[in-house]
Amino acid sequence: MNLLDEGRQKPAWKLGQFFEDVRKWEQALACNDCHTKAGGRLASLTGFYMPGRDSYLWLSQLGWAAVALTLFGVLVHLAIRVVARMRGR
Amino acid sequence: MAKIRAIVFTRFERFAHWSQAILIILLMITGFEVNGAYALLGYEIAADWHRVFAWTLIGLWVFVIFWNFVTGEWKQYIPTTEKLIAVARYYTKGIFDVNVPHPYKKTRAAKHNPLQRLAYLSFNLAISPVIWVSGLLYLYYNDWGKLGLDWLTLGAVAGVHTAAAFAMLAFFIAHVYMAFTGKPWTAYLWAMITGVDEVEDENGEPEPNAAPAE
Repeated sequence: MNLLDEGRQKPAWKLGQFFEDVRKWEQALACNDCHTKAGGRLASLTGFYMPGRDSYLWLSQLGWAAVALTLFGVLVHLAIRVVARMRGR
Repeated sequence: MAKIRAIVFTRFERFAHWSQAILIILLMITGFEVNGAYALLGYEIAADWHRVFAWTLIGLWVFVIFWNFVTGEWKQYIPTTEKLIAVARYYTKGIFDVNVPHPYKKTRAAKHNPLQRLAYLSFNLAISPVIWVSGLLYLYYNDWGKLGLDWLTLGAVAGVHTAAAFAMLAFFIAHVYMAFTGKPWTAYLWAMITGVDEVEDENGEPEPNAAPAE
């Protein structure tokens, strides 16, 4: 945690401070250097959950499947509505 | 009862609805990036903006909850089984026929059909609280020690937050689609934009907070 500026321990509420922080980090170590899916600086340091690097494959697959299913259901319903409307005319 | 055109969604409700809509869309875009689903803004910017949008939405929610209680409008979300089957059947059959009207008779005091009540109640009492609790825990990860929450793991909190986010996205897709199922197809959308919708005239019955008609 101390790799970062001390003020960074608290979330940046103020946008000005936030952009200032971003500018500062860009000259040093950026969040993205580690918080990244592949090839980050801490890619090989396992055993803990790091946002941006780690996610659960099963959860993502289940989640996107549920989303895809919802989208599919909605599109089928829409298609039936469109066809029914054309026939009704 | 005759049908009348009346303000069904007050200015505050429309403001709250559309602000919430925009914030939820922005939270989903930035949130799924933090989750690692794609790389769009970069983790850093996505995570920081996710925080900003989250606090804004929490602020909005405080007003919305307060408003619901002072106006008594929270009663719109009390679930009911009355006409539940009829409404479900409408969406699987009657809706495909232009001449079949919606079986639910909307009034100003009960503007949500039984399916909407169930959907919004689960949104308000299941999806949202899970998102808020897990999200706040996520935000205050650095204070878990002070708060006596060391027994939690970030992976579990992130997992619960992500699962709720998927539920939110599925809700969002279905909700946006349902907004276009009116007759004519943009009717519900317009009602949410202008606030005006066609409802049953409550026949002189005073509204919950209205002065009795003289």
